[in-house]
Amino acid sequence: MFDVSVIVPTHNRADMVCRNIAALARQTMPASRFEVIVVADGCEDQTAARLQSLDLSFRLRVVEQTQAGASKARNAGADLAEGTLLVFLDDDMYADAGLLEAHWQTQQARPTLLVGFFSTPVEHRSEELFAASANAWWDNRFRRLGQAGHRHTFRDVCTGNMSVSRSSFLETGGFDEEIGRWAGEDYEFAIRWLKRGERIGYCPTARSYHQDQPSVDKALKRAYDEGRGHVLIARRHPECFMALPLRIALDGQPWIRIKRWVKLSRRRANTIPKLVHPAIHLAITFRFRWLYSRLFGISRSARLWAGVLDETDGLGGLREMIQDIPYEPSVQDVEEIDISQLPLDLAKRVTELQPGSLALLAGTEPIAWIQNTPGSEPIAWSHVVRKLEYWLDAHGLRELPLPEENGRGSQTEPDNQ
Amino acid sequence: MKTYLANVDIKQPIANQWGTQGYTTARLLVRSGSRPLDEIHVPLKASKPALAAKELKPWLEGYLPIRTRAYKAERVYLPSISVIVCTRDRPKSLRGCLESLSLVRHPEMEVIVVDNASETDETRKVVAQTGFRYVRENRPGLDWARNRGWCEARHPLVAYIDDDASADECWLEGLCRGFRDPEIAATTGLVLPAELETKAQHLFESYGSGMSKGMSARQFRSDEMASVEFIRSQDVGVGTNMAFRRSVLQNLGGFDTALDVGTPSGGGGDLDMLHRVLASGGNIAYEPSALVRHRHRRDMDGLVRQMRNNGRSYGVYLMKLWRNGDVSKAALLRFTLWTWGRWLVGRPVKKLFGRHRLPMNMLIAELRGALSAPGAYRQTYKNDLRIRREFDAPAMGGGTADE
Repeated sequence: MFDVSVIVPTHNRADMVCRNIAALARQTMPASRFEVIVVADGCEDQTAARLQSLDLSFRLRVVEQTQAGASKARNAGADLAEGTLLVFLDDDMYADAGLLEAHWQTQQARPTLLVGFFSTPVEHRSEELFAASANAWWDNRFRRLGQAGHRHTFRDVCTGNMSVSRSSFLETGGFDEEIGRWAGEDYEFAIRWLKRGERIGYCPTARSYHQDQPSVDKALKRAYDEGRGHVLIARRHPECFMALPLRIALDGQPWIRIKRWVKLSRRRANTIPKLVHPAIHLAITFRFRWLYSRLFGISRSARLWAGVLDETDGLGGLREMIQDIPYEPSVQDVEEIDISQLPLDLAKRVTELQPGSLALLAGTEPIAWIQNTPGSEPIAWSHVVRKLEYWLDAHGLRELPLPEENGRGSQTEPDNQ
Repeated sequence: MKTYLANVDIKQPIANQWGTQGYTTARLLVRSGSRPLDEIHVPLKASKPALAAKELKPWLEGYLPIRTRAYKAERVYLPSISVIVCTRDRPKSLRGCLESLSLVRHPEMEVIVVDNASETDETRKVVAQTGFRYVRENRPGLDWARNRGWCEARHPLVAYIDDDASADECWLEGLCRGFRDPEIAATTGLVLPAELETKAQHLFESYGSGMSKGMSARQFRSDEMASVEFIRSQDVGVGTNMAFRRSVLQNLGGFDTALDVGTPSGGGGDLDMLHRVLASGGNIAYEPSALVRHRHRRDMDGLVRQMRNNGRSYGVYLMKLWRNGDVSKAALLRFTLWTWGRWLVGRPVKKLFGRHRLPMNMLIAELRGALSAPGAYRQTYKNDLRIRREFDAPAMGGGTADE
């Protein structure tokens, strides 16, 4: 009945969510083609009542549930949705006018798990040290995503602004609710998505504005949640461990980087942030950037490991987990391709083969080795092109037409705006 | 620092070694068919995606003439053999081990997985997927599991492999090569690391020479050895990769259930068995073509614990030798103080002067383990008696009980 269902989970942010839902009335997509479902996750500030009182041109449904986490809220919304395309939006995202249309058009061309772009508008950015570094981190992330030939991994997915077809979402199984209590449910969903052989895309024109003000305390809490969430991800998908920030534990000696010899322990992981807290705020107030970045880094990694240790129930559990993590899959059947010998159908061959690992040679000299690492997209011609830019230039192969399979150009090429 | 491990067969055309990005050196086992020749260390550039064949060729030049001297002139000897894998609560490692066993080429073999009182059901599920035999041994202790293994075995040869090791394709062929001589009672094989990704694993490899005993096949004949050499049964082989004739195990009464992992002794069951084989007049063959790759502990804490267990288990083993009287007490005392004592105390002292590459906590851990050996010896035999009473087991497993 509807083309698009927008799903927004919310928890005790009535003002913000009302403003952002009202803003959806300005979408270029006609109001009859989309609906909005807001799932109030244990809200105590009359979010539902205030939303119902809004006068909107599109259909809005408000669902209430007892507090169970954002994952459960999103899954509940997805179950109720009637649209063919689901667009997940966070309650602090102010949608740009062309958001839904951009998601819809890009998905029509080629259905993937589409990640949209979001940022804090420049004029609203705080100059505070922490906020500035957080914004810079997000900017960098999206710049990387937008590069041609970027090979998407599960870490590129963020539920703040993403779209996926409803049937595929339900087939993949939705978000994991246990991980949803902490953080990282978007990563875990993306891992399962990639395991099914599907792809991830990025659409920079599907824009929204992130209205949340980052703060040190929120970031530290998030670090703790990530610690717990990532351990759960590693337990469910041990082969993706090497792509998580937890991988530094694999060297067998997780240590918080104050001094080399400070060993990790639960007590230290919990007390270090408390000790360092006042110093961080002092550093931010007086803009001592070097001191702030060192102290924040220490605190953040301490909170991360505190989360990890709480989830694995101590160092013993962590040790057992890392002992069993499989490393890179061993190099078994390598598909070797000599690019100097097959210039014409090289692109076709790469996309057809879908090898476990791609070994590229120029004559007898090895050039590149691309593996189907768990947690990354399957190998595509655009990824190969990016790796071999220099070599292909030298052999005059840059002007190869991209095969039809990649859709219009490549999904990863940023649309010109 | 990471080391890339691979096998290079010089009878095949040399291939590019892919996947070397991030590795600083490569440690390649050069083989001629299934016969190992040497291990070479090739430096790598971490940014390059592969070790090209033409870069590798100069390293192998010296071995190429040997390739024709492989095992082709011998007649093939492949008797039926039972493989025993003892495991406890390590389903993921076990899966890797069983996968490698399913690729081993041998005409007549059976695999028995002895589950030594695992707390969860995962082990049974893993074994059910592979189709190997599953046996549950509730008496805790690795040697109880090993004894149960050879009792359940149907074939006259019994081979043991650890659950965190993976066997090469020609593993059983190599072990059987050792048994071709009818006077050989037991065969041990070559154990190389499966991965060298973490610092702890590199350190374990540089402790002694890791678990490998060299690349040349040898026979240890008890009538040619002085009795004092029987003490050093760790030179003969390692418990990760060993095989016995079933009749020999039966005559000797099986493994000593008071020893090895899972008991207060922390190890030594394999040392004790190999010693008893020699002491009773049997001969042991060391056959490096029986290759097994063992995955060492990745974390430093695990390595320190391993060192402590090493010290303790060796001390318990020596005390058992003292009580048994197989070897002259004088020779044993001399060995304990002059050889082993110097090894234990000398290394930390050298480290103090900055002349040793292993970290101090590892060296001290081994010393501390050794000092706790007398207490562990008493405790382990008491524990053994308790287990026997609890499980109402008949006296099996050899070794004198200490009351």
